[in-house]
Amino acid sequence: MLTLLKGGKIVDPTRKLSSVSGDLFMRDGWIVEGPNPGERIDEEIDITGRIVMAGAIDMHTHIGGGKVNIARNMLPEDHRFDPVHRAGLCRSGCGHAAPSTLTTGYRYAAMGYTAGFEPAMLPVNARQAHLEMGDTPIIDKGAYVMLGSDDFLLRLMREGASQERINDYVGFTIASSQALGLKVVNPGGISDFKFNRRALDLDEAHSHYNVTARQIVYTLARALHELKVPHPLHIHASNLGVPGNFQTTLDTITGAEGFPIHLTHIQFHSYGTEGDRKFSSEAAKIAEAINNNPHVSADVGQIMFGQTVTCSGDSMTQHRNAGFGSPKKSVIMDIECDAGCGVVPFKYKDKNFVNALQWAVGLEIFLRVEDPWRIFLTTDHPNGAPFTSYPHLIRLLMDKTFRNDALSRINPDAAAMSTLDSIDREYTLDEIAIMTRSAPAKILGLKDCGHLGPGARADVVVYKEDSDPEKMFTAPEYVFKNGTMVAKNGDIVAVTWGDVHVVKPQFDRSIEKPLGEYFDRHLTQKLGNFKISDDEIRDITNGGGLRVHACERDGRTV
Amino acid sequence: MATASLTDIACPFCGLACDDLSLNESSGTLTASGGACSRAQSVFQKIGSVRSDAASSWIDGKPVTLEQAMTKAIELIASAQAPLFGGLATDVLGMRGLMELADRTGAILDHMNSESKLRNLRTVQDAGWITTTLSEVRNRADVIVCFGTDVSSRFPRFFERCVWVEKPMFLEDSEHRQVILIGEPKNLASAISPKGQQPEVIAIAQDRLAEAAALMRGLVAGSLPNKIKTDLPFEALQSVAERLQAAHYGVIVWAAADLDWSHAELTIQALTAMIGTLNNTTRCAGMPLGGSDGDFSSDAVMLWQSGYPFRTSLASGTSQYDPVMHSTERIVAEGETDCVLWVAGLDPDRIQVPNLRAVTSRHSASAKGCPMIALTSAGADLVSEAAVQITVATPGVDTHGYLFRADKVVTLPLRKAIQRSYPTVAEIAQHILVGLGDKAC
Repeated sequence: MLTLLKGGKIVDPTRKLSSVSGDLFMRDGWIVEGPNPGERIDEEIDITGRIVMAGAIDMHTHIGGGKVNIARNMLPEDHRFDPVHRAGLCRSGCGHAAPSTLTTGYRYAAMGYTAGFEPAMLPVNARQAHLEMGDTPIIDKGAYVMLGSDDFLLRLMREGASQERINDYVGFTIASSQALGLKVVNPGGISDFKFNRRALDLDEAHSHYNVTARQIVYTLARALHELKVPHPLHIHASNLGVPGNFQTTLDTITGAEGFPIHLTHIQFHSYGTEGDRKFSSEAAKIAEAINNNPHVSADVGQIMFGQTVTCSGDSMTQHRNAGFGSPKKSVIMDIECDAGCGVVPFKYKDKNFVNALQWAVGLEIFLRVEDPWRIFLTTDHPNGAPFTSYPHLIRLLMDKTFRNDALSRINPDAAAMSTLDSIDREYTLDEIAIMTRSAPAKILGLKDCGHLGPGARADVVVYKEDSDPEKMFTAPEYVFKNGTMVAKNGDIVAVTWGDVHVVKPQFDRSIEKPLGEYFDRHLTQKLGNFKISDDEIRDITNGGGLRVHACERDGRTV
Repeated sequence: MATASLTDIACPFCGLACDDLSLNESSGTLTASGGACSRAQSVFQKIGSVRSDAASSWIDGKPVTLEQAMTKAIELIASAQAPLFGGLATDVLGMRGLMELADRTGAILDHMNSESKLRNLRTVQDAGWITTTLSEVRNRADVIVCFGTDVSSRFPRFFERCVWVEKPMFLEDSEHRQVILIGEPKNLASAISPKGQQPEVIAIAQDRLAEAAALMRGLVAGSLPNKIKTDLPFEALQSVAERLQAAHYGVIVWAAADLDWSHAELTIQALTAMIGTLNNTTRCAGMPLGGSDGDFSSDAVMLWQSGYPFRTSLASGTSQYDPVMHSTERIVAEGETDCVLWVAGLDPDRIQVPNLRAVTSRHSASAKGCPMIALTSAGADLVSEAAVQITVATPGVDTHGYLFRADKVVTLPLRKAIQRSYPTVAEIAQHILVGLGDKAC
């Protein structure tokens, strides 16, 4: 089956194509150069004058695993005003902050997203995460598995285990949980919370293991580098949300000692202590640090005003902030000598000083980081806002007048403390394409995603250009997933099942001997049942495939 | 029929989902050993002992072929105006299939354990809580309070696997743990430590436990009046409160199924509020044990696919959650269903069908009342109320599957142990879907 998309304006930053008129051919799910000699074109769609991009990739979105189900369980009120009826090909479900998996897949696809990555999969909860992602239709999925507060790693580090041994453990964890990358959350802090610690700074020693967050960050960042896992360590840094935490963030960058790192939801980690309320924006300093450190990337975790729910592995921080929750309820868990989690509903208000400043901090970071290849468009769904707010966020970035109008409506004290109104930058269409397609594919090591060159998956989005980017990005004219038209003007026209993206780093399997003994002695399941096989993934993805990406990395940047 | 003996098998017959069992099949006998408790042994044996050529489908209690039973089942579902999918004792894969069928047919979904599960759910939806998981209890808990439950009657190996372990990671040894049972514990044997240390029992009648929880909450919060009059064992409860305050990591264990009285959620809320207060100064967590009859597994699938827990109706074309209106007991009593699909696909001794004889459905033209399609495990008794009964493959015996454990965190893979040709719950749901074709439901 050969399909021709004729006459579109191709925006493909990976191949340095900026609104270049041209034809695009898709054969059996892949982008191809053109017809073979004598090959008939089966279908031709005239898209003259339309913008064509690769499918968008959300590189940090909480779409699978226990935290989201806890949110659904705790918050029936979250869905009540966003029911989704069974219609046409689509099953019923519900939307808003913790939507059903089915609705999640449909809405992402209708918005031109063809992949989403769960950023905080606990090793012991990986099977559930894959089951939930398996029930998320159309889009491709993948996950970063969490280490850094698990007792096995902390024991290894306390014992002074070699980096090679730790690499084996990291490699084993990624492979056996079927992950694409590795995340660390409040390094050591989730574990220390179980020992009644309430805050753990980067250079404070864990009260039981006597290792520091800095050591954990360095060790894991190095492990990924040596295992050649494409995505650098995905870091939810220490001191999330704490005024003055910008310094921790800067120190975390130096703590990685030049190994590539990715700082996640950096908006929550860019706060100072200036002003009457001892809460201020240090977005400029954070952006400068990113600009000056080419081995560092970040996603923003923009907040939007309204009701949402925060789902985090950072039990220590979530317990500390539970009192700010709205409605006032929360679930906090200690988990299996492995990790933790905390689910706290939040209502961000534009008239609230702190919330308004958080909003401005996020936008300042977007606009002050110069290289769109190293800053990613996220709301940390649903922690800053549901993913459905992306088109609005894109307009805030592309339209200065619109942005300044919004700024004029927020808490005036917060607006006065922000430098947002002095920033003239407006993102271009090319830059939006970079931060939502080309760059996520590059940083995750997905060679066949995020671009429209021959050999890429035929994940293609066709937009009607509009002076209002929010309108343009809300409901693209056509969305193709693996070459199948799945959405048209915001309606789902075919339901397919996306693939699971993983890496399989090389490691010494002898690590399974001490691990097996550790599981038998201390945990409550067998190592063999902890591991998730390839067949299992295929069994639970409703027909989606398993895509294994190569472990290869360029040299250390610094 | 024989397959090789299997090791590290997970057991789907209680929420602990112990996965250190061995299964051996020879001459038509399925033997569970390794870590298998006596209940697991007997359930595996019962399911495994059914010959694959024995009758496995029935219409009105008479053996029929699977095809005949399926035809009848499709007919019943197709003509139903208000189907109820109840029981829901199945695993993740079974529930996935049922959800798709429920969406197509506009069914109401409720689990056989909803009434007890709801006691916890109301607590979570009202205020939330702080909880922990089995391995944290095993390695950290220095004070363990079992409130209103002896635990082992429902979860036989809890003490063996989570309390009396040889070397907890963060404690000197398990003997130093304090185990306190509050209520009317029946089974104390497994709460005795390996060296013979007896558990402390604070005997309180079940109908006074709500008061005891409130008292403990007040003691921990320091909010009680100076002179309080009570005939509860005040000093013993005060001592528990003090020990929890002094503990490094206290754990309050309860099993909602054992807190079987009206508005027991208020008792659970008193416990979780107490845990909240304790966490202002030290660490403490709840361990709300459940997960039996696949309740956490099918609930988890409901949550992620529909957004809501059990007692959700898909009749309007979208999910509507109502924990009172959508209870099996109420719907059946009020005659608000005209077809029940009852799923009891795990433990053959846990069928728990609702009493349909008492009512005649308002919707049903049948003089016999509301028809039921029962999907049961091998070894289950004939369900006399069932118009159709079909033996389904039990996940963990006849087919593979996935089961959520008591802490809702760990999902265990269930393995196929023997070769019989029973259809899975998901296959039956799919078959009915296909059979319904384009028919409007």
